[in-house]
Amino acid sequence: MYNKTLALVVLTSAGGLAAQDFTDHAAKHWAYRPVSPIEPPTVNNVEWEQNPIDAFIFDNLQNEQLTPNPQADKLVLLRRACYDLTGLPPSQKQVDDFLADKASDAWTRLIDQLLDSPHYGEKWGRHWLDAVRWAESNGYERDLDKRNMWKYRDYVIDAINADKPYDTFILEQIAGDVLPNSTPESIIATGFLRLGLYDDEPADLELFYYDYYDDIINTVSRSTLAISMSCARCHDHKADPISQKDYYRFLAHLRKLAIPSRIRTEDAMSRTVFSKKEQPELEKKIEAATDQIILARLKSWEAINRILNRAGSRATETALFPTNLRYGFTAETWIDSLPDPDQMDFMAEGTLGDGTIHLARNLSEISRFNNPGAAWAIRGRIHIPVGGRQDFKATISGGGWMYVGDTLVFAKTGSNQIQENFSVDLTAGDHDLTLVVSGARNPTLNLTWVRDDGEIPWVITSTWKNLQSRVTNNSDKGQPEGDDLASAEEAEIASWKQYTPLEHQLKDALVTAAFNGNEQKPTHVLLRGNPGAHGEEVYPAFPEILAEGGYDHPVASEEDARLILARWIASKGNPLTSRVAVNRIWQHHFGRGLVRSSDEFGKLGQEPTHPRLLDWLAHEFVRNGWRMKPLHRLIMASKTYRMSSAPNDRALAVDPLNDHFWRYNMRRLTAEEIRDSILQVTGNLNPQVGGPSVFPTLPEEVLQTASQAAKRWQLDAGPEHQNRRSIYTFVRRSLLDPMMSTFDVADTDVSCPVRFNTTVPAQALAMMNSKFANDHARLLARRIGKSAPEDPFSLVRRGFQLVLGRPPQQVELQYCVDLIESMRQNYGHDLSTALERFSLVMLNLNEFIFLD
Amino acid sequence: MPPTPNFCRRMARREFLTTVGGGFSSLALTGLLSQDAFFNALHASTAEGPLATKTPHFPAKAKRVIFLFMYGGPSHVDTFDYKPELFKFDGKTVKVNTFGRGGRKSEGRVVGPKWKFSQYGESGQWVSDLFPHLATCVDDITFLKSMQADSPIHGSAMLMMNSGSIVSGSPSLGSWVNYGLGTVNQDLPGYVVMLDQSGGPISGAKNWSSGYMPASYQGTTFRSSGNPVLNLKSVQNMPFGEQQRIIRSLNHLNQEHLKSRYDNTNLEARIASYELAYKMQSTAPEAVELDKESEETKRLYGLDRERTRDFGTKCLLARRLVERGVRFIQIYSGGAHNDHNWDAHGDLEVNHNKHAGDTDKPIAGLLKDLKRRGLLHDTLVIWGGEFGRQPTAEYAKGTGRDHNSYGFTMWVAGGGVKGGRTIGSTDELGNRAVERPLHVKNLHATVLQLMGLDPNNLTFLHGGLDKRLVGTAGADPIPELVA
Repeated sequence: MYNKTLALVVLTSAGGLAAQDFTDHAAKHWAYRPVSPIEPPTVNNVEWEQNPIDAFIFDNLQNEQLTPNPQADKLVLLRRACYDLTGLPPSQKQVDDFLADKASDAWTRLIDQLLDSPHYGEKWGRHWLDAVRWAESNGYERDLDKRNMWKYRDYVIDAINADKPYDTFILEQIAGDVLPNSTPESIIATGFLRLGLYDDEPADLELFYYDYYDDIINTVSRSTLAISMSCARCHDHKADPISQKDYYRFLAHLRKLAIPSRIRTEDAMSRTVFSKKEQPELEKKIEAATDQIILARLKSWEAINRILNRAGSRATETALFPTNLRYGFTAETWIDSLPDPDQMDFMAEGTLGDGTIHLARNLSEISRFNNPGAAWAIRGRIHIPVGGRQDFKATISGGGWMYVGDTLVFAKTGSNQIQENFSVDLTAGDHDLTLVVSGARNPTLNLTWVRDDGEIPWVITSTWKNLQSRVTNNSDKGQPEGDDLASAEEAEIASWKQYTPLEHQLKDALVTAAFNGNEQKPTHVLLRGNPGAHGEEVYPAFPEILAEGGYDHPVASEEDARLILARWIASKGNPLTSRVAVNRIWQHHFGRGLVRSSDEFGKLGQEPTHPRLLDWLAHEFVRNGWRMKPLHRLIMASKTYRMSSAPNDRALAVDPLNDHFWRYNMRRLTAEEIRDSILQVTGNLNPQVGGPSVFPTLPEEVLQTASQAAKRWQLDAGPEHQNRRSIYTFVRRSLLDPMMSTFDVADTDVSCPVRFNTTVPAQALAMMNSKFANDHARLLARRIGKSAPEDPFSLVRRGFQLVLGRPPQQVELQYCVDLIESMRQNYGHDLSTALERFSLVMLNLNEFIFLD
Repeated sequence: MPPTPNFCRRMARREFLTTVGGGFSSLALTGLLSQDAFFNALHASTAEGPLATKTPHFPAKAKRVIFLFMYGGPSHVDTFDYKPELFKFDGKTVKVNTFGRGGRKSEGRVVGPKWKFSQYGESGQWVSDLFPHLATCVDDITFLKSMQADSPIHGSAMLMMNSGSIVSGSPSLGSWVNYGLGTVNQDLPGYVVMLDQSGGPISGAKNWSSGYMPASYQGTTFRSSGNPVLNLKSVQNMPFGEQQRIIRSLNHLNQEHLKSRYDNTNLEARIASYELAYKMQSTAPEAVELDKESEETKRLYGLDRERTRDFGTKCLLARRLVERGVRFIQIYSGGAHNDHNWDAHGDLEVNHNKHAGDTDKPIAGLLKDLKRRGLLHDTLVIWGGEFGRQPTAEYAKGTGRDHNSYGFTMWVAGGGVKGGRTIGSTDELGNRAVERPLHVKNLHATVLQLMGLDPNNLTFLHGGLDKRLVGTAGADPIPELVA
């Protein structure tokens, strides 16, 4: 049954609730009813009847005897539109152009221009990333990175910029790998299924699988359907008509998805994606080249092992070989990576005592490897008798890193040779030493430790090298093993030359994405959610309360069950999908959804404040081909969107929470918007769109909170990386960027469609005292200084223009000039430092951080 | 100025419920729990922010918690869980079912405890020679010798001990305490974490994360030297007067901005947050001024000796912080990987001699100092790691022990806990809890209970579920623990 066809089977009753109950629930609860076409109300107001959104809002306001606020002024509208669509403040030019544009279509053209900007995808992509638990690492002890996860982020940004229909967007993310016409792009989209936590060392394997499914079920059901399926994992949902059986039938759709377990590499969940044209060709080439390398490598290592066996353990030529260090060897690494010895699966281990590093515990271990990289780790203690400068002269083929205690001696990636002297200051005493050498071929090392007093306490020389030199120069020449080694080496070098360029293509083509296992495994209801307690067997089916006609008509299908699920979610008939989508769009324009609980449309959630408008929008959205851009245009063209946010005492008394939208809701900028805006107003934002994530500076205190901070945050020092938009900062689960988290960035572990909005002193401390804030105050001061005459009045005026897009009022001007004067007179600062203090104030203004 | 300040206050409460207190989900919470007296008490004064002081469910025995986290997993059979049989079987292979990072095994070579055990105090508690100083405090300590956790693997076990779940994403114990009670000192963080000098534990910030709660409830890392809290001091090193002058200008401008937006309490709150931040800057550093402590006190914590200075300083800071109203403090002994923490897979003796030797005197000093200052009776001190260690050897040679979550020891003191007692026990090898097994959730429930919070009624609505620290099924506190 599972091999060829799947059946959506007839189910007569679901645990606890009789079929009749479902019908009643469906009739009662608004969210489960189908979206039906609705006519906008007629209102007797010429201005408020033109846009259907306005008609709905105005009609409702009239019923409550509330008056809508007047239109906000032009600068407010410009800032509102720029932030809502791109997450960035308007540039000086945008301000000048828009304020000067008196044409009647100025607003429409502005919206079009912003929707065409690639920054639109970055802003709205981030909203989606919130809903899908975006992060680029697995969490838990190793918290390993997920291979090329950024490609999923770029998929989201590109899809939104291209206004990809939302139904396709969802379909691709849930089932892009099993679509009949799947493309590399649609495969990358399924990174959605892999974004979650991944415990690579689960204590209970069965529980691990069901936690993995639950993460997907929770994310899919909350982000696309706004129902909490996960509540039914252990028992029937307490508030909604979702049975435990529904949960496991939902889960059954996912049973063919491969869930690799206990894999401790960046490639735990990766697969290749070649472009259609290159795929067969490249695969064949890579396979051939890899085979050659592995064959040659096998031969050479077999020869080496025979030499070692014949010669017995033999000391190296140098008497300075450190005998107290341990080594480990593996052939399971990638070429460009700097492996962590705690995560290396050693094929052989031992002490450096006898001067040789063995390659494997036995020959059969050698044939185990299938990656082209190899690495050694050397660990132990180093005794520094007198503190001070130490030199480590290193010649390494490949990359490597070395720590003595907490001091990083060096860390270099790449497959080129390192030949360098590294000097470090070390304190006296015993320290841990960790050294890793990794490379494409047999990594080799020559490391000489030179103490401050010129003594050379030890030298580590590579055994490979010794062997090679023994083969080429001395007694081993002419021995069969020696000849074998020499020719195998030659063959390997030749095969590497073919392989290396392919390897980069290969790595680029790896993505963390979905792939199926061989079979659709059977699914059982798990009693009390316990993986050990199987209840009845269930088959893929949609939640009964939602499946319009689906469940009571058995459908045989050749299609993958996951694809069937995806098609159902992305269908017009699904009462939730379109409502949830338009509600989210409304939420990010107005500060709250028409349904405030935008991830919970069930009974635990909120009723929509404007149910008819919600349905009308949902219907329109689907009618327009599930495209977001027409909806943005419609919303932003409305008078409702353009209202001012000013208070009105009468309206506040009647409707303090603005349930009826008598005004526009003010909002604080998001964490990303705050950082990006600072970069923008100081003129330093790097607007580059897409590409691998970047590692901007994090405070040292924060890096120290990680168990392996220095190795794990490979700082991108260049300004081009430092000043990218926040969406491009690498998101590592175990390391919180304090600037982001204090301003309520989305949590990485669960779907977060509504962010918190807190005000705490830690935010003030970050904005006043941090290096980031002060560095940018200085940059802003410089920018102000460059473009204004050197008198305080002109400088303040310029500062207001740059930061707020408007001139200061008289009283504001006076406050700021007083500040500058006070800094000069009372605190002895020159004008440029005084200007920095003023700039810091500007970046901290409520007007800068809040939108009207 | 707002024309009707009372009106604004009422608004602020409602606003909080809808937007601050838990995202929009908390609106639903209001609906569900509006009859719940606790919920009303919890949110009654929240216009001041999420960390405003809240009334507990019932009178609290403990007002604050110091959690001494022995990261890596100390061996219970070498520290407090005296097993005479183990000495006898040293080196012999026995049938025993163990589960650690090396997987499941059904037999193993017994490693006899490497330290001598003696009885101490009037209560006659067993303590090994690893803790000569702590041994003098046993009459104030209750040992929990039958602890169990859901995982014997560091990553998930750390999350279990800190957040009650082996799956990442839940708020940590300190977050729950601050969510339930708020903080009594707005000038200091309510939840402080001090890390080992070798680095953070694995999973880093996830161990003190607020998970699905607002970030205001997450732990703040606190350093024992230099600037204690991130960004507490301006990188400009400016004098207070100058900074005050800057904040004054900022406030003037923000007040101008507020005039036409008088109803927006978020704007007001942000203005107030600068005042608070400024106050924090002047008061928080005072908390770390150890010069004010007498030489005798410093010696008591081992500050006069190189090896105990670091942990001793953190323990002394912990006392100063609890005196200043910090609600929850966690100090890590051990960080990073391998033998930088209690994870004794290799040489048990070297590892435990180091970590016990670094912490014994400071911990004893902390207990004695709290006691003589009258702070111990309402300060709960917890000691333990994420799990214990196996009675058998991990490898063919050597003394290293693998992880063990089937049975291990933790201890608690102060905060309404009866001292000089032992609850629960493991089997004769110390492998598995047999008498009165205590789950990590029972410990968490007890902590909340002692703090005046009902563990089964302290909830946070998330994803459609009323989430609890103790899980959906709930968990009981350990009644016999309470004095």
